[in-house]
Amino acid sequence: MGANKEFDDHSAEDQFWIFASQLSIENASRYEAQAQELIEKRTIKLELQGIPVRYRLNFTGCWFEVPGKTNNEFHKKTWNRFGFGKSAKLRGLPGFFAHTEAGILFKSS
Amino acid sequence: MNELKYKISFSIVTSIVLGIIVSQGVYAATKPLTKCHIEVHDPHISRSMFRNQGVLAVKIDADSVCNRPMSDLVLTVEIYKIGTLGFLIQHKVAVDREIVHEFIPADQKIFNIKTNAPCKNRKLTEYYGIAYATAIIDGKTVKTLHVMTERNKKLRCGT
Repeated sequence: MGANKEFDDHSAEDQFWIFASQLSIENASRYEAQAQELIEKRTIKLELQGIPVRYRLNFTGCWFEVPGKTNNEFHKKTWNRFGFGKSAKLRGLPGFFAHTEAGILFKSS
Repeated sequence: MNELKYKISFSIVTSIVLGIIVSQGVYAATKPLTKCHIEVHDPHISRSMFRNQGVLAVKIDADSVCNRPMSDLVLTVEIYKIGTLGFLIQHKVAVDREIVHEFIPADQKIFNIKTNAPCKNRKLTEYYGIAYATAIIDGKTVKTLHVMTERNKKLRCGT
């Protein structure tokens, strides 16, 4: 679990944010397209290295969820506030995608 | 007559006191005390995020530890900002739930140190955080109280 030991020292935390930064540079155009798609559809489902994940927009922000085996079970839930407007969400979502994807991929890398 | 009354009342008091002592002894022997502790650190601007990602963000870290083994731990950290009208208007700006379905041995610290909200501007804003947890200990779902950060912090980070 990401919460357990990976951040016991500062260098590991640095590595995580370096990884998130790399993701946001490498996938900038994908994240922008993904943000547009999410704003249109309100919910999108993806797979990150075989792990199913879901992004769900609500009024002011976005949920990132890693569902478990049953409907009510989750392995991870994160929410960030971006504001009411579409443009605020478009600005904030790419960084949110990078941060949440890093949370999944950093553990398995 | 008075002596008999005294003897009866003495025996009643003695049996009540003995009963309490015995029942406490039995309780202590069968049910060890469960001590769980959540610590929420003060809101801060993440140096690590700024150094490595070039992103300014407010961040609140928390950790949880229990003296009993547990499973299905859900450790939640929420970041709030206080609006211009003070405590009347507060906005939740970030939530992060670390969910550990696996077995967690006693005294193992579980961290939630990814809860952050990126800054949109450099407006001075006051923040605080709340953390809480649920877990299954000895087959029962146990909930902790909501723990607040010790201090609110004004940071140059508008969200």
